[in-house]
Amino acid sequence: MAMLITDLCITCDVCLAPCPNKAISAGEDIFYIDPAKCTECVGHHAISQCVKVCPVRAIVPDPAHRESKDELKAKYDHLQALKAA
Amino acid sequence: MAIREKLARLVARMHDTPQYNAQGAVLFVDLEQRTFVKKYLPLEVLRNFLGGRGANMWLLYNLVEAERDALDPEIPLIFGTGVLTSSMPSATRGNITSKSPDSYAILDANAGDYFPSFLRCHGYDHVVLFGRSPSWTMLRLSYETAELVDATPYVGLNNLDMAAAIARDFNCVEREDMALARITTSGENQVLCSGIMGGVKSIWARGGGGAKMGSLRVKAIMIHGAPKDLQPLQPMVKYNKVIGKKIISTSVIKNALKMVGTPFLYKPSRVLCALGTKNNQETSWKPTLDADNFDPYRPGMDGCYLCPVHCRNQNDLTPEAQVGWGASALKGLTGNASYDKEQASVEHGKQRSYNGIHNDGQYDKYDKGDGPEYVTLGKFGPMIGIQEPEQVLRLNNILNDLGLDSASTGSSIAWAMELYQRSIITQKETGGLDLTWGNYPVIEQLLFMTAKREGFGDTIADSARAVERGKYPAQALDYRMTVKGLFQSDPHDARILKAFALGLSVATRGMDHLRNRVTLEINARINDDAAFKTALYNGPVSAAPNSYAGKEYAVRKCENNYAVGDSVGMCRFNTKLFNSPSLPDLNDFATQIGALTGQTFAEEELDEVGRNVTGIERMLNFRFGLRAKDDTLPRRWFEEALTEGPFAGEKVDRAEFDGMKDRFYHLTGLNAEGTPAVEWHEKLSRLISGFAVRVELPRALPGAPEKVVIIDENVSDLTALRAALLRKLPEAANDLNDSTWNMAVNGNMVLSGEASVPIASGDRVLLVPVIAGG
Repeated sequence: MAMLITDLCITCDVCLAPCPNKAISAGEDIFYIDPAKCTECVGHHAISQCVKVCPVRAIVPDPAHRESKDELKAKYDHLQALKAA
Repeated sequence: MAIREKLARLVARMHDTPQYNAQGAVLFVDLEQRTFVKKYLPLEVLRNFLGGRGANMWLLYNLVEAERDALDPEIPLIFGTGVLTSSMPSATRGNITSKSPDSYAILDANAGDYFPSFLRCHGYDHVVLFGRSPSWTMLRLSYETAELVDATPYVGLNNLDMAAAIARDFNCVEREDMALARITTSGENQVLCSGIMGGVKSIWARGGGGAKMGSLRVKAIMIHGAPKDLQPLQPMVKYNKVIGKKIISTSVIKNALKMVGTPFLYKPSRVLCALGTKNNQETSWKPTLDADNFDPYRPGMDGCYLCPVHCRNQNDLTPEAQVGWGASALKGLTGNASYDKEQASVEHGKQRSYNGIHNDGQYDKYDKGDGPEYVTLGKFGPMIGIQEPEQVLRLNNILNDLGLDSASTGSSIAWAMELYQRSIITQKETGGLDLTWGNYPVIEQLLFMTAKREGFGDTIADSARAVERGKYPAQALDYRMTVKGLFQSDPHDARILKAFALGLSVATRGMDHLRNRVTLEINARINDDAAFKTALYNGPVSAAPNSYAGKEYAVRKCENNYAVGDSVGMCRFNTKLFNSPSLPDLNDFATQIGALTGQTFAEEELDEVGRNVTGIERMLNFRFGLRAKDDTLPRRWFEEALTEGPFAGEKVDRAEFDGMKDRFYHLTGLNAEGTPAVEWHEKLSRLISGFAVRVELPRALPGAPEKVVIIDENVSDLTALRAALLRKLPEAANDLNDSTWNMAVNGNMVLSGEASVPIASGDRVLLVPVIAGG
């Protein structure tokens, strides 16, 4: 599944740089993860980089976007293909 | 080994299970016998000293034989994490503690990155190392597993290669499922200005921790395995948002630290003409090192575990670098130019010009890295006469790989350069090296020689102890910029700011701003509001930076705040009073300590904990031989006035300084020798060692101005107490050995058989001169 930023977010922005898919952007009050771009770092890292750095632990699995490892890997491949095109 | 006897007594006072919520264990590692003991600290340690630095001091006090050399394997090296490390935004830190081989004081250094948090997440609050391993070893910790691994394959590796080798051999990734505290060749060679590395740049820098770890033959401590739980920590989570918001909404954090890191401090000190230059012979240097001159080489920022700031500026000198992070970020920040507002708009428009250090298009691994901090910029810029940002960056990257403390190493080189300038040493002593100010190729070469203790590098490696180790004549001490034998950390020349000067003189680990820096006293917002400033520091502090009036209040308050910060694991940059009055304070810490541990603290109680931590440190320093005379400043600052800038003519007046120091002692509760006064001393002794006997003297003796000594060694009889008294007051040996001084215990005179007179904690002993007559 994609990751979700909860309203605990303090908008410190440290999750922006480590996101390998550039899936995170600033929202009105909190930051936002685009579920279409989030692979939970599958294809890039063993653990989700945004979770690893979030100082208030505001990032959790998104219950509305449940995906298996295979589906995340397929999303990663798709994103890589788009990037290469 | 005597430490094993002390350890046996200590663990008998400890517990087999946690004493409060979220408490981690203390792991004692006997490196010689390769054995482990795991225990939990008593609750009263948390109540009176918290964790991290405070609890480290408690452990050291109970284990150290103060008379031993710092590099003796019976002197322990203690790693500690704060109570809130890994649980609160910016609480990323941990301390190492021992007796310093570099200075004459305690060794106590603080670092962040990922190691302290990983250590705590694996269930350990402290690791105590002692004994010398028969061969080079690495301690590997993974939750319940603790083992000593053969480290001989890693001997000779410096910082970057060491981390890579461990990642390769254990199939792990640093910062994901591994954290590593390691020494480099400098530590292996017991270079006194070497630290312990906790990342690419992160270092437990001050006091010679690298040499100490090397003396135990420990190459590294590895925390193996990712932290298990990264879910929100109930019930801390909501208030962590408050703390996080407080941090990132603070102006200096948002506009400076997150954008360019600490080099933003260079310009204010330069403009004030308070920048230590050429070993503090001068106080102003080139604008070429203003922070914006590093814009062309800054690809981004990095940070410690779960920190919202990410203040660590990275550097990349190679042509492929994607740079420009933080470019022009400081433009227009008038708060960063207190003494010349126009400086806020000055930018240099620096363009990338680097073409390899030999200008030949060749690049190597030292053309990329993390940093520099302002300390490194100051010590490897003005202090040694370097003016090109590219050269500072490269030296910074080399220092990081060699595991050298940039403050002590830079000061050691600056000291040598002044001695060379004055012909106190010549190329005969330097082995042909030309130590002219700013001679970059020689400085770069000298760093590698220092790590190897090769040629003149062996002298730099002896750091502030070069005279006592026979490398320089005694005359050289006149130019050594140290307090308690430790070179100054901060590049700031404190002849102007008297609170800063007082802080450097009384700091318990030596000449170091991180124990009590009071630079906020030149902040207009604070100085223009006397009532606000008085409330901030718990007393009236003069608004004049160069006045001595009331500065003791500011230093005292900062010491308390920062000692608590270190003991909960909070980063100094994000602790109230260091960079801003708006940052998280003792109330915030108390809220989260309560939420995590279930132990309630009032703000005043935490403030007292801060005082306790500095109190125990002063008691340790007393045992190491330091006295009030050691709370001083380098000769130069008393005798040589500034020659330039808005405070030209300023120096430190000895009489005014002594008065300010006396007021600080009184406010803190110290006696005339700078150690806790008797009532407080007795209370601390009971808390630390569980033992306190009050010995009343017939008159004030050297080291005992109150005519009272507290013995906190657990002695069993009166003979042992006499021996402990001599150890405590060696300078009073003549009087204490006077056979005409009898002893009375609890009012009963002892005329013979002292060895059979039992002594217990709480006893009162009176030394009574026999009156001749008839």
